[in-house]
Parts: sequence; structure tokens; C-alpha cells
Amino acid sequence: MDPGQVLSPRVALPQFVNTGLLLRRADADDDDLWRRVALFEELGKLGHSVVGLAVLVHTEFVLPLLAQGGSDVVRARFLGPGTAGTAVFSGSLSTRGQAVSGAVTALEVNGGYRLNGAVPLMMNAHSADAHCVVARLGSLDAARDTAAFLIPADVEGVAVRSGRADCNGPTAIASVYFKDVQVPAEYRLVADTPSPSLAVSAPERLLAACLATGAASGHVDATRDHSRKRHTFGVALQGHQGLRLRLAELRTEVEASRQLNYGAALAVGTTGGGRLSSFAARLRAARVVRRAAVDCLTIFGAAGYMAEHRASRFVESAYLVSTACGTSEAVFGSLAEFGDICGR
Amino acid sequence: LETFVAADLRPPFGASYSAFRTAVADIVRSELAPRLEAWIQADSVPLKEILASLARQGCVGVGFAEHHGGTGGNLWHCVVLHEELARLRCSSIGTTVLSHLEVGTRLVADHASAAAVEQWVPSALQGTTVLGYAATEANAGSDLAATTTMARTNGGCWIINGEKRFITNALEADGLCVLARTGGRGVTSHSLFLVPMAAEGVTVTPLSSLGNQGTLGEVQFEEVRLEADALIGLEGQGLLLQIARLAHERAFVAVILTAMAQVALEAVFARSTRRLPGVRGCASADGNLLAGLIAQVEEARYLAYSAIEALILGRDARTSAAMAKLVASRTLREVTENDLVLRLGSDALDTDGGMTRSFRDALGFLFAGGTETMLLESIAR
Repeated sequence: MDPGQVLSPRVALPQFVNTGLLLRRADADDDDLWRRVALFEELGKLGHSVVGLAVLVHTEFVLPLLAQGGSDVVRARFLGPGTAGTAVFSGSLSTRGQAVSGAVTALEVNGGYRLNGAVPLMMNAHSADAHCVVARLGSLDAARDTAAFLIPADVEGVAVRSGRADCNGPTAIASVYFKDVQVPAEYRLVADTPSPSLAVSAPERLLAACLATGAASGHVDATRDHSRKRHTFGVALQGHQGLRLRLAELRTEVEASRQLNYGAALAVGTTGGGRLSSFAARLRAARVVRRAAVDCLTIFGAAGYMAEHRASRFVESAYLVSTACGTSEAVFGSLAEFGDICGR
Repeated sequence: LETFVAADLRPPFGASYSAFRTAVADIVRSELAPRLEAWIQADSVPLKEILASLARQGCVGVGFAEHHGGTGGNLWHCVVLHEELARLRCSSIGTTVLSHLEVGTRLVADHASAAAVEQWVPSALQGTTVLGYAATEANAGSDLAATTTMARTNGGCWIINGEKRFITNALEADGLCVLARTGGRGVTSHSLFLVPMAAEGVTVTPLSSLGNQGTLGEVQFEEVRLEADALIGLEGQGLLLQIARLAHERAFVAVILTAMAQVALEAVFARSTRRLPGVRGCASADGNLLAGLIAQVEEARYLAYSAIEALILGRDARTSAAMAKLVASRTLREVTENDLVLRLGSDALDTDGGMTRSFRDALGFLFAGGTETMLLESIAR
């Protein structure tokens, strides 16, 4: 698949749904999680994070929140098209950080809410029919006093502006601004847990891990191919022990990350829990993809540092993927909050 | 910890160095910093403008002999110059100044013909002409013996044909020291030439890179005719001069990277104290992380200084310079990456703040001055 041809989630999502790669929630069965694990691994291998992140935000972050906590009004308008992939949702790649920093506030006014603020790094922002935003309700206790909203893109006061993102270009990521956006109370998504950013965190972070691991895997394979073709000092790069061993280490790390992902998927799929292992998988995969980005850049050399080179693009992609669904800082924090790690 | 970071961690160089540091810092703060954002937006490093600002206060000719047009002083003054330039948090500036002064100008001053020295060095030290060094090719980076750019003699002149890539200062340079194959085998098969960029047959194409924007270019030489005295050093000495030059360049790259890491670390600390404590249970971990990074920066700094000292004392600095560059580049990457990943998260990715640029720039030093693999090979020998 050429990522350049499917930059728009409006094109990619219906294709994945229609070919059975993504199931409508109502049709989901036990195999669905494994199907998505495989899908995100393969999307990661595109070497360009935009497609994977677009699908991840739409299907793993916004759709579950909508299905679980959407009012009848909002579900009636968005759930069907959303699951079919004909309506697209945007969401922040770092929801928890966004909530903590209080980028958007929502005040109760006239039986509804008035939103003000801006959210950077909104995936699918330009294509979205609705923006999923986590807003602070007024208290300074951000971890508890936040709520998710699904704001239709055509509401007055919503504006999408392209900032300079480090990768993927303006078509994929942008800032969404909310200026005195007035919405009825029905547009608030009511989650079961006090912190909406944690409500769907296990599968979301697991699949973010699969995306990152897949990206690392594909990039390491491409680098290995390059190391067979490129010659210095009369031999292929692969003939130099230092580089060969570095690639071997990378492959081992990728495989370890992949197995941790699978273990987490087993835990999520069979027990419905798996939060600890999925968070650990997400943390580990983020580190692996970042290391792969830097180490492989070394092997590609100065040519890889050029702006249009695969290795250069991958650095930007890798750091974005590793930030998705919570920075490592946030995942660290979440893991620390489990407390009883040994008891699981 | 806060007091420790806020304190001036740079070692006391003594009164004369402090006065020079103050002079450079004033120029950086009052003349260069206000224009930095415009340069970044334009992906351009106007080196002559920068050199002109520095030259007005006599900061360009330091470390060069007065009979060459230098202002005296020694390599420690050059260290101070680069440490203060690093405060701009834009390595493009440090690397272009380094390539001009410590590589191009020094090669010409030390090894070119008397006529070439007279023609190029005084103006280079006044900042009115820019020099650089061109060795790397698409298929000859670490392995410079694979260089395919050729120089042949013709009627008492040299004719050069070939192509150089990833050349710092290519876009601004008036003259480049070019490594070319001149015949024979082994280490005596290459020579260095001073090529005026205005010469007929020289073409420059800008290159866009992940970091260090506005500095790199590709240079093509098509039947470029040079006078006989364009040769730098003796015929067949090119690779030997390159090897001798590398230690000098690596030591200064280490100085620049360490200074950048210091500035980045100060930014990490400043930002970490401003950020809301949104994640519980990490305060002590953050403190430990920062303390570890401070130690790493200090370690890198003194390793770089030891390489500079070896150069000043005329000792073999190849190993210490390789170690210094290896540790400094890893340290800068670690500081900038930790800030990017742990402290800023998505904010840094979106706003393209200084730290993100620092990290992109830091990645460029995976290659500049020698890849890690080559550095390790050099140390292992």
C-alpha cells in the first residue's frame, strides 16, 4: 500500500471496514482484537505513521468512548457512520497530557457547555466530522474533573488550523481551536470512570504498541536490506561486525516487544483486563521504535539525514507514534498508579 | 538541584577568557539572537552576516596568528567562541562557523601556498569571505579512499571533475578545500585543492535535511580549471591532511555538542519547574534523571577539554578527540531526547520548539565528524 494514496482516513477507514479488517462493533467477536493487532502491526510497517494513527484515533479512542458514553442524540448521529468508516473523528494524540494541561475548558452554561481553548496534535483534524476533546470542567483536579466531548465540526466557533507538525504534514495533524463553542449537554460523553482518558486505555494503548512495534519491525527490515546492498571499505555494511551486531540487537528488541504485545493482547482478550501488560507493552514499544529510528539512521548515514529519505521521515514518524495515546511520561505515571504490580 | 543547574557550570578560564566570553555573549544576545527566528523560518544561515557581527568585536580571528590577520589568542578562545554561539540553540550556526574557521581557514592557513594564504586567509578572518571543506561523496563518506572526484594536470593547471555531497557551507562558501583523487594507490592517491566557487564549472545545489537546515549542499565540478598553486599541501597528501585535520574537527564538534547539551539541560530544568505536576509519583524520578544528565554533560565537557588540551600541547589527539565526539554526541541526544519524550511530549512535536530542533540537529552529529562506528574503530586502534 502506498501511504501517499491513503492519507485521508476518509479513504482508508471504509476500505478497512468493507474488507473486514475492521469490524463494526456490533459484529465484534473474540478474534476481533487479534485481527486489530495484526492490522496495526502491518499499518506500522508502512514506515509512515499517518494511516495507522488515523485509524487508531478513530477506532480505538473515539469510537469506544462514543459507544460507551454517548447520549442517544450523539449516538444516533455519529455511531453508525463512525463504525462504517463513513464519518471520521479526530482526537488528540496525547489525551491525558491535554487533559492535565487544561488546554480546553468547558463551563456549564444554559443547560449545556461552552468550550474554549485549543488542542494541538489533533489527528484527522482536517477530515473530521466531529472532534473528540477532553476538557477541564473548572476544578484544578485535572485527573478527576475532566470530561470528554464530541463536538461536531460544523458547530460555530470550531476552527482547524495547520501548525507545523514534525511529521505527516498538515493533512493529517492540526490544531483545533474552540472559541465560545456552545453545545447541548448531550454532546458530553459520560464514561464509567472518573478520568475519560483511562476509560478505554488498555486496548487503545496495546494497539498503539502494535503500531509502534510494527513500524520498528518494518524499518529494521528495510535497514537490513540496505546494509546488504551498501558497500564501504570494499565490503557490504553487513560485513562490519559493529553494524551487524547493532542490527541483531534491534531485531531482538523488536521481537521482545512483539511478544510482550501478544501477551498483553492475550490478557486483554481473555480477561478483559490486561491494563498493566498493555501499558508496559506501550512503553516498551515506544522505546523500541525510537531506538530503531536513531540506530537505523546511523546505518543509513548522511543520505538518511536528508529530508525526503525514508530514514529521516521515520525519525519523525517514530517520535509521533511513540507519543500517541500518552507520552512515556504519562504511561510511566499510569504504571506507577497500579501500585500492586506483582499482584497484577 | 535547581541551584546547581542555575549556577554557571562552565569552568573558570581566567580573566582574559572571561572578558572574551562576555564580548561574544553580548554579540550573541544583542545581534544574533534577535535575528535567529527569521533565519530559521527561511531555512538559511547567512554566515557572512554572522561573521561580520563577530568580526566587529574581533571575535573571528582568535586562535589565528596575527601575521595571517588573526587577533591572537589560542584554541581556548575558540572554545569560548563556540560555547557562546551554542547558546543560540541552533547548531547550524556553530557548524557553519566551525567549518569556516576551524576546518577551511585553518587548512588554508597551515598548508596552502603563500599566494593562496594571502588571498584567502585575511578576508576569511574578517568574515568577508567564507571557506569550507568538501570531502564526502554519495558513495564515499566514512570510506574517503573511495572518493571518485578526480583531478588531473593539464598544461600546468589542474582540472577537477566530480561531485561532493552533504557539504557544510556549500551554499555560502567563496572557496572550498576539495579532496580529489590524483592517481596512485593507497594513502598517497588523493590531494587537496582550494577551489574558488566562482570558478567556471562549479555548480551548487541546496540539500534539505532533517536538522541543521540551511547548511548543506551538493557541489558539482565539471572541468573546473585551477592554477597549480591551488594545491593544498603536497600532491598525494590529501588523505594524510584529512586524518590530521579530523582530530581538530572532532574536538571542536565535541565542544559544540557539549555546550548545546548544557543549554538544552538548562531548558529542561526551566520547563520542568514550570509544568503542572500532572503525573503523580515521578518527582524523585525526574530529579534523578536530571542529576544523571548533569553528570553526563559535565563528563562530556571535560572529555572535550582534554582533547583541546592535547591539540594545544601538540600531542596525538586522535583518540581523545574521537572519545570526546562520541560521548558528546550521545550526551546531547540523550538530553534532548529525554526532554522531548519525558517532559514535553506532544507539545514539542507540535510547536517545533527549540528542543525539538535541538534533537533533530543532534541526530546530524551521528555522521558529522565521523560516524559512531568510525569513532569506535578509531578508539579501538
